[in-house]
Amino acid sequence: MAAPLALLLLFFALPNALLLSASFVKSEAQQLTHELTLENYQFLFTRPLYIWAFVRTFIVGVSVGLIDVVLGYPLAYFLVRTRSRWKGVLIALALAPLLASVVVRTYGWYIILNRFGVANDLLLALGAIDERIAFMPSTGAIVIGLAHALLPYTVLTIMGSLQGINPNLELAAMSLGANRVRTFFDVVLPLSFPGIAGGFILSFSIAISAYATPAILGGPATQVMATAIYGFMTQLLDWSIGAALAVILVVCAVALAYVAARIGARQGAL
Amino acid sequence: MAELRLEKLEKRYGATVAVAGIDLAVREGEFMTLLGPSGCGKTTTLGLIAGFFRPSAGSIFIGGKAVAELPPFRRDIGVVFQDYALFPHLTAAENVGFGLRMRKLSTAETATRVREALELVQLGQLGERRPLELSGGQRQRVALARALVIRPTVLLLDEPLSNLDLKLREEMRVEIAGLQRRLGITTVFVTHDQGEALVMSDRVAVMNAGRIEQVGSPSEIYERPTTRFVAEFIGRMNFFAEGGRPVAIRPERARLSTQAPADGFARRGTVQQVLYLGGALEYRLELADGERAVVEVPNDGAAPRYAEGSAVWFSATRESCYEIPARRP
Amino acid sequence: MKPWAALRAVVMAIYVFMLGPIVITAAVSFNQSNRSQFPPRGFSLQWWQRAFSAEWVDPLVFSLKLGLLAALISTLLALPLAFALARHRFAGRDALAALTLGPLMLPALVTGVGLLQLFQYAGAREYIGFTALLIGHVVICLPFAVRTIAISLQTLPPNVELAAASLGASRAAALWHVVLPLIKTGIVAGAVFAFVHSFTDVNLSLFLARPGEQPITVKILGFLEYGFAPTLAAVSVITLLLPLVLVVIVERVSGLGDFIYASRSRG
Repeated sequence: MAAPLALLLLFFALPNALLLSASFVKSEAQQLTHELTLENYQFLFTRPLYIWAFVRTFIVGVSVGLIDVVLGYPLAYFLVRTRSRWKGVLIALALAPLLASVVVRTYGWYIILNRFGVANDLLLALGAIDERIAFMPSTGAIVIGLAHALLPYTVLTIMGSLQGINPNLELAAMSLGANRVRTFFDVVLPLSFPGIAGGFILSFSIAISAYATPAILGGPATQVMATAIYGFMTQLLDWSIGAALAVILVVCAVALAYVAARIGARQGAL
Repeated sequence: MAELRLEKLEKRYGATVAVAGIDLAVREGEFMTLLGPSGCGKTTTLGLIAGFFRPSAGSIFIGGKAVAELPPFRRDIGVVFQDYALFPHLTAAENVGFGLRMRKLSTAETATRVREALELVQLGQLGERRPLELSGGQRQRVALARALVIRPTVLLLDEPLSNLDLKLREEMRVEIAGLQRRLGITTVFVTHDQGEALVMSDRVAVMNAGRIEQVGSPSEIYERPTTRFVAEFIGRMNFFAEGGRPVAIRPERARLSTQAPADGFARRGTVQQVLYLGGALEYRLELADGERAVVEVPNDGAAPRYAEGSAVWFSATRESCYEIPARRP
Repeated sequence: MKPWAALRAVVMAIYVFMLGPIVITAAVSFNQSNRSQFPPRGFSLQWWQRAFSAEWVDPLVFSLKLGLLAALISTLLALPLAFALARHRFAGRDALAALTLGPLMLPALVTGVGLLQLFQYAGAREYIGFTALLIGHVVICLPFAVRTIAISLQTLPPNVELAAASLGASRAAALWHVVLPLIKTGIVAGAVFAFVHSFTDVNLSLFLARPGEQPITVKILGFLEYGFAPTLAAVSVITLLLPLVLVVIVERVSGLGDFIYASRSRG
């Protein structure tokens, strides 16, 4: 018991504490000083580049969350309700992409979206465009890539919620005169709101801290928080500001986890 | 086999008192039932005897040895749980053999004893099945065999029949009681079902709110209850005041007639409801002074039937009137 | 169209969206020319040959070693934590739960950055590489193992441990003969999730790798700028197949299905 505790304290709690303290300290010539300051945060909140990074991160998160919920819900509903003998295979297929690293899955979109890639080839062949379009680097490409990568998580969350709904409720509705469509919109959908909210929050929170996809499908002009942190830590070597960015990211993640927990707590099966 | 003695046994959880100081002596080879409603402390008492938790006060003696400080695995007990608690990852035979393995018996001896135990509960052929593949009744027998095969000093059963359907329950009552008599193991049986208690036990301890209200043989408990609680808990009882004294009459000892009886206890009344119980008829009456009464008449084909709303006389002989003794200090 | 048929059509389209990029990646790896064309023109296995060269196999083996070790260590360390959290009430339990699940809640990126700083300031720069990666991976994989083992513990049939005690099993014997066999699936599931999480991680590994000691994910990321599409595609497919084969084998040996729904992992 002492071993895991020591591990967590030393290699998880301590580094985070270090980050927090580093963010409040001035950095000079790539060395941390002992001067307390709020400059780092000031810097981030006043430079347009980084303000845009925050905004972009948020936009990406919301878009990804929305897309994943819209795509994930029908899929989740289908997988929970289908009586096909391929049910197990279909579920496995929906979750299998999680076995591949984000890098690998995003690479697929790189292949599709780059100037000489599949999307352009297809559109040219169809005559829809005359000239190759630069789909990437762009925020849109980041959104597509992340929405694709995070879809299985949303599907899992919504599936879990749907399975918690007492099947007798639908039978009761139908016995009272509601057809399948009404039953869905009046009974199932409202009861699955916690799952939808949970799925949205999950996708959102992973999306805002994603590095690989924005790095691959985006560029210097489309920074998000994660790529900015990477830049500060490894290229600009200003660890204080990098730490400050990391702290902001953590605060967002914790806030989201809290909201998700509250929603989860209210999810009761009837 | 040995005597089991509980002295001033108490169990408190914070401010709640689950067992409020009980004294009980179970003789060697006796079948003692702890009977009472939910929350009366009977399961807690059993848990204390088993060693699943420590008493807040008091002592427990098995065969004269003080065991309150000993963990369950050193008390030489056998326990049958309400949900059977069979090990899902082991076969029935392996379940039964578990206690023998813990006692380091040889494989050969274990196999022999397991076979005997399974045959004792009539599951000889099902040893290789897993609990999942067995019916509720079969699982119950495996649980029983598992507790018996180790030849414990004391056998403890926690409402083992409550998850069975009625027919099976009635069958198993007789079987378990018969087994116990044959093997002669000192047994403590917990139940809220008074039918079980009456059929199976040598003696019954009726519990209420953490205390024992009365200990006695089934007939003593039923025919001479010493407290109102016991009288009401076992079977049903009609309570009246006659000449300033409390009178208790069992429904099956009371009579219905159209005319007043010659002597004994009598009251006028009207039939409110007639319930058909198959083997008997239950008449619910409202008596002249507004009191309620219940009469049970065997459905022997000869007794007259009274319709709802008819006027009748409720009566009982002097011998059928029982007076619950005043509370002892 | 009947509602269910409409749903089925929509779902098919979603599957195309989900699996399309993976299929395209696999197809591109067989391309004749060194380009990311789809449908592929010509057929060649040369890129696959390159994918098995030392340049790519080394990081692959590195990731494999890292993953297996991280899974093993996380699972071992998870046992006492899961037991403590699932079975006992004690002061500070909520704090311990938060600490244990923390690496799951916080972005792996931040954990990586924090560890990098820690190693720098502790003057332990030379440990950056395999050692730092192993530590980092154990930290982020630990919550998975703790969660699956804790769930297993919570779904133990009640009373089986009391039954074992009543039959003469000491606490240790009950643990060994009854509890551990019954939570076996949880332990295995935890180890598998830990391995997959380690094998596919990039956010944390990014900061703790060094040339020569790079997980395959970091290496692929580094090479994306340079083209070499079909080779990278082949390597990508390999990194998908490896965990897949592992999961299938483990599933066969000890049914994992139930745990899929219980997991909520983070990328």
